[in-house]
Amino acid sequence: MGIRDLRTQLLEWIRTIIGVSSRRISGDESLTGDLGMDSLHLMQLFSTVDSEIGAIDMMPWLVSSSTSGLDTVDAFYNYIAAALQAGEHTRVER
Amino acid sequence: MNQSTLTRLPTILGLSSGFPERIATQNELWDGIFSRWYAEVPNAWEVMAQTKVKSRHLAWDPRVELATRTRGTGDRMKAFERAAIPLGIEVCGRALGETDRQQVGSFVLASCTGYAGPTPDLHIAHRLGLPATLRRTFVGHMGCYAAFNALKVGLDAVTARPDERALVTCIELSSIQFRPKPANLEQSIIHALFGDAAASLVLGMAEPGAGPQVLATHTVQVYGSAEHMTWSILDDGFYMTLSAYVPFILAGHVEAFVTALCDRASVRPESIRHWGIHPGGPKIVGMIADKLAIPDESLAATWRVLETRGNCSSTTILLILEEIINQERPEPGEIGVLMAFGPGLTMEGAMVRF
Repeated sequence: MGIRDLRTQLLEWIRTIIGVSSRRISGDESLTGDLGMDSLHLMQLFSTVDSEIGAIDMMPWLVSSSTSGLDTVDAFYNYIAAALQAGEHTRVER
Repeated sequence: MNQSTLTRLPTILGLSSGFPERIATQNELWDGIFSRWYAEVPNAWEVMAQTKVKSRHLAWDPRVELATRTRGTGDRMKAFERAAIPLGIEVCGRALGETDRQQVGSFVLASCTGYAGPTPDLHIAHRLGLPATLRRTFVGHMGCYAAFNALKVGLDAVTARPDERALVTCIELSSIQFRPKPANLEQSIIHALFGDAAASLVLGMAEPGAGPQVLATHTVQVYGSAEHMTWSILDDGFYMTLSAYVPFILAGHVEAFVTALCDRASVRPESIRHWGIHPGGPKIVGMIADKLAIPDESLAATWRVLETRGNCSSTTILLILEEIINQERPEPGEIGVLMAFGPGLTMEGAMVRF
């Protein structure tokens, strides 16, 4: 998947998971704050990324995101994009 | 050094739990107060039911103590002292049993739900007739894993002074920190989860066969993740925040954690027969159990304690250990792993040989 399409795809997955198909989501919205995602939603998001993009080590992002709203859509996208560009992912061949 | 010196290890010689008398079910609390507090929170009842807690012991009945207002920190601390001391005397006395009081050289008490000066351990020690030369330690505000911090003080004490006994105790009365606001999803989960309990264990150096022996402990601080779980002191009591990412961070570290604990104990992971996982919430237990491939039957003690007592903060893991001993009846020599997590984020664990 190209980086250009990645952001669109992530937003689409987030919209589907939290059930807001027509709402515009802005990059500075916090996943758990503004978008109200809970652990179940997060599990769905991470496993979708895992199966559709590949296994990415999310721990550095998990640790540095926090309840003071740093877990923004942009931060999430940037982290995954950087991991893809660095080739730091294992594409699961199906 | 002879063989018997090598086989003497810190051993749990006594273990006892105790609870405030008042029990309330989730239905009673929902009807009596939480439906009012969380009226604006969508699906609050369903969310609270997902905690898997069915009933809890509560020193403070929120339907009475918090019916019309929040309470000041001073009020809450007085209530804590009034409730904690008799409860502590009860569990410590029972755990000590026939132990010669003069042999008790150390007493560690952990709590993150209330403080007083002198700390409750002083009054408990006095009432139980413990020596005036007692080494007391109070472990305050460490949170849900504090039983391990207290245990480690006890382990060091009996290792350094092997003729003495150490009394290790947790007293947690979370109900005294309940608060009507903020009334959001996070707080509704927290107020559905936490209950009150105390537990005490007696440690002493002993040969195998005298009780569960502590083979090793392990700790990992996930530096940088402090904001994911906070426990602050406000003018109107203690206030908890909890990020939804906590189960993911813990699950991501737990395999390496258990491997390291096994290495310290020189035990193979495959020989672990019994598990106690602090139920910070059902998701934490579920994700960790998944990661470690823990069979369902090995989670029975954890789930049973969560269901009948709630998350009792640091006391919980001792309740789970008691449940494992009483219900699973481990065979001598079987290995158990106990783990708890909390602010830091910090992961604590111990390996015991029953």
